[in-house]
Amino acid sequence: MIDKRIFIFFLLIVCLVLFWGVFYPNLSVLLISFQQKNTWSLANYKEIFISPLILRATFNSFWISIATVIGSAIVGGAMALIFHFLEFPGRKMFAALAPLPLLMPPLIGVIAFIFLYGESGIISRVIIKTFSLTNPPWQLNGPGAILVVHIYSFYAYFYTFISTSLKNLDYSLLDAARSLGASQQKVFFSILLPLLKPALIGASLLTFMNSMASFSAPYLFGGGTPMLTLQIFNSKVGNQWELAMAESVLLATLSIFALIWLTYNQETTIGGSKGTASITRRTITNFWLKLTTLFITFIAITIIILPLLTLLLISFAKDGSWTVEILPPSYTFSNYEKVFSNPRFIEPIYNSLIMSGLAAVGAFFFSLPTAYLFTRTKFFGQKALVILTMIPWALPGTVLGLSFAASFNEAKWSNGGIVLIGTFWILPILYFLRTLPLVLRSTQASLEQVDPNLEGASRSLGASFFYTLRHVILPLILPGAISGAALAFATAMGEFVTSVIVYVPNSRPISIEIAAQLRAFRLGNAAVYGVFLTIIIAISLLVGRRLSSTKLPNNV
Amino acid sequence: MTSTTSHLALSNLVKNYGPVQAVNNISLSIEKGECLALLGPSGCGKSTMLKIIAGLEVPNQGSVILAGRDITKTSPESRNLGFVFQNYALFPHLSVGENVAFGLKARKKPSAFISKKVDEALELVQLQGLANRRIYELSGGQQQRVAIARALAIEPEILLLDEPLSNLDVTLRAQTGQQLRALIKRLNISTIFVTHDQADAFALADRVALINQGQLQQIGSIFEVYFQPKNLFVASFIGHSNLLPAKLLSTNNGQAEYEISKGFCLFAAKVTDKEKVTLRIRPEAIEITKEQKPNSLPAKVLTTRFAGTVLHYYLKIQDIELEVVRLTPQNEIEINELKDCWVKIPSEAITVFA
Repeated sequence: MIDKRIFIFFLLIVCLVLFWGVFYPNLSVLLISFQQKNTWSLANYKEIFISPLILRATFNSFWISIATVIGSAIVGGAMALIFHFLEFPGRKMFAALAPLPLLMPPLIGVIAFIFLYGESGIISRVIIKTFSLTNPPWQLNGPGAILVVHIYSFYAYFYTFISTSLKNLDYSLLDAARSLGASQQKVFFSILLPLLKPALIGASLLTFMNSMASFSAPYLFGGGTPMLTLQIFNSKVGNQWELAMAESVLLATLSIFALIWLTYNQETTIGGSKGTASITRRTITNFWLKLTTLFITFIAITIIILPLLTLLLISFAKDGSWTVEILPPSYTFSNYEKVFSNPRFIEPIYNSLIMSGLAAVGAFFFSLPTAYLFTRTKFFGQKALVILTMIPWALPGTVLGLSFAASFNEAKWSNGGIVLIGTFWILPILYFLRTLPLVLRSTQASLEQVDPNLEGASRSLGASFFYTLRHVILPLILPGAISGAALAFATAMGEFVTSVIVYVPNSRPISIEIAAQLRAFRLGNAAVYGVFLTIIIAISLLVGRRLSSTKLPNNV
Repeated sequence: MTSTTSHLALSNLVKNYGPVQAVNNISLSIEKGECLALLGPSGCGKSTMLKIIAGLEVPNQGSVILAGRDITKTSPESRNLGFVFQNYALFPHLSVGENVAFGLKARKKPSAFISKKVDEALELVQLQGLANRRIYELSGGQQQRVAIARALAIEPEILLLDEPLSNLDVTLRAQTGQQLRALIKRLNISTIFVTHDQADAFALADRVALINQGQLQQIGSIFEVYFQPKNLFVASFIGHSNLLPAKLLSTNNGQAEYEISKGFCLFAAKVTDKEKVTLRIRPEAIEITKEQKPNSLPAKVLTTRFAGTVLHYYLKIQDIELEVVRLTPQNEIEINELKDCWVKIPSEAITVFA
């Protein structure tokens, strides 16, 4: 029900943005990766396959990602199952706290881990004091540390995916299997696990992609462990421009494969009847069992929220006063005063708010015609456009940053003379592209809820296409679009990996400033930024969730 | 076909969805104030036709003429036709009054005029005073009336209704059908509606267009299509018909003798020279008696189905099964007692198809 001219107009806008924003930069990366000193060459790829360092980096990235998937699946899966099938005091609160790490940008999580488990971290000090050691029994660097932080950051994918599946499960299937004589183990392995397969695949792919793309953890405490993302960063910093591109292609290929797999498998939801039979949680009655469950859950939840609490604590610690004590000995508001009164310190906050705001607003407005085209019309090449919109989100942030560095660094005929590198606009545009899929998904979901007949009704009542858009469709999808934009804003606020590749010192975002403060050992300042960021993110996510739940009863 | 006096005329409409021919060369027209039903099984193309008339679909071929004006390429908002969707398609974010006012607001009418029109439209469907209600606070029947009021408020040239009664429960259906027909007749508004249910078609329409597989099978008054079905599809789609294969035996003075099974013959009008024919026998035209009467045949009652006012008998005459519908006898004994009976099939009850 869209007029042909408006359809073409919409399509043109979407194609233009996706061509120059996604297709062109990625093509540039690909082309440059086959060049050396401006002549065509396979030398970069040859380098990848003979350099022991790059091979080690590839191997490390790969096995750490696989291990992250397995570890996250075990932790997230176990929590989802326990909170779903067992009833014990505090279950609801624990279940609500479990997805908390998704709230923290990876950089903040990494910093909190340093505060806690680093060489002079709080927990490390507790252990040293308790057992009278000279050094903590562990070191927060190397592959092990990366793995632990990864699992902490990503188990929530498994937790939320599996929980959602369990909520929608038809429990009469489990009862049926039991009544047919299957043991509990049999039911778990031959009924429950197959039913959870779509959720497991989805969470595994997301975790794998995120883990391959992870930069903050290897960057801050990789301890010299070569990883692909670091390798790209180092090649770029070391002016091995073409090699960085070839490494990007290698890393991006894996992510793109995962993305395509995800898009083509998202429809494989649990088939069969949608359950009406709801679950009856088993209440633990045995006293000791109850105590054990409570104890384990308590420990798990403590581990989850401790990083946030630590961040808060450190933000009030007096810089330089904390030397050998377990906890900072004196507390003060001076860190907050310093950050919020000094224009030099407040600038990054201002920058991030402006740049993320621009990105979210842009994604909001761009998502409206795009969502309409993707859900309400059918045209040749639609699937390709859908995948193009998702690429900047699926690409490792490092690669996304590099792709723009490769294509908008100087005026060329192919980029229409647009130079973004070194300008304020580079980050808002990258944030826009990176978070667009989040907004688009939310807007599309809302639009799919809107009865297509409403459009027909409006048109036949004498309303034009735009009047219909403005007075019927927009009011109905607004909550979804805004909630998506809020999520985009939150994500952009915490973005570090792409920013670190292309930021301009004059408009550096919070995340860059945090890393800088950390390197200067101004822990208090870094923590203040971290707390501020977490609060902003939490607020925007809450607003978003509130909006997405205020759904109008459609089609009564 | 398209007379210049007709209010709306469709000529040679074709609509394809890929290889599927949803509408295959259909022409028909309606007069001012007439109510036409597009009747057919689901997927026959009748809803597509309604959407083409409303401008929500564009035909591959053919034209739509409204009051002598070709509107085939006119956008839906410029056609001024009232469309009532099967699921009503009420705007969930607007109140009842705002829904009814929508078309007038889109036309930028003055607000005093709009509120007067909204009140009038709501009064027409007996929903006065409910203007401030939210849509989800209404019952299904009330929602339908809002949808009708919304369509009528713009004073449309033609009212289009998609399955107007199908979302209502049985008790509401008869009453709503009656009120709707009264309203259409009172406003003298030309109406086209789509239905798959012959009872709805008969309850609302003046004329019926039967459609199957995208093709127009027959168009005529509700009585014509019932008593004089043009082809087997119409005969089988309308009413509970007995359709029996038969053989032409002999002809005499325009009357013909048809053999249904060995020794079981019926007399009916001669329509064809073909030997193999199909007879349609309307079930309510067959007489059943306990005693033998002239020209009646012995039959056995297999089973009965009680439907309130009428009783369906399933009979067997030799090896032929036959459905007969009679007014329900006034006592239960009479219903249960009848096992062997005599059946008389008058030749007016029979239509012959080649």
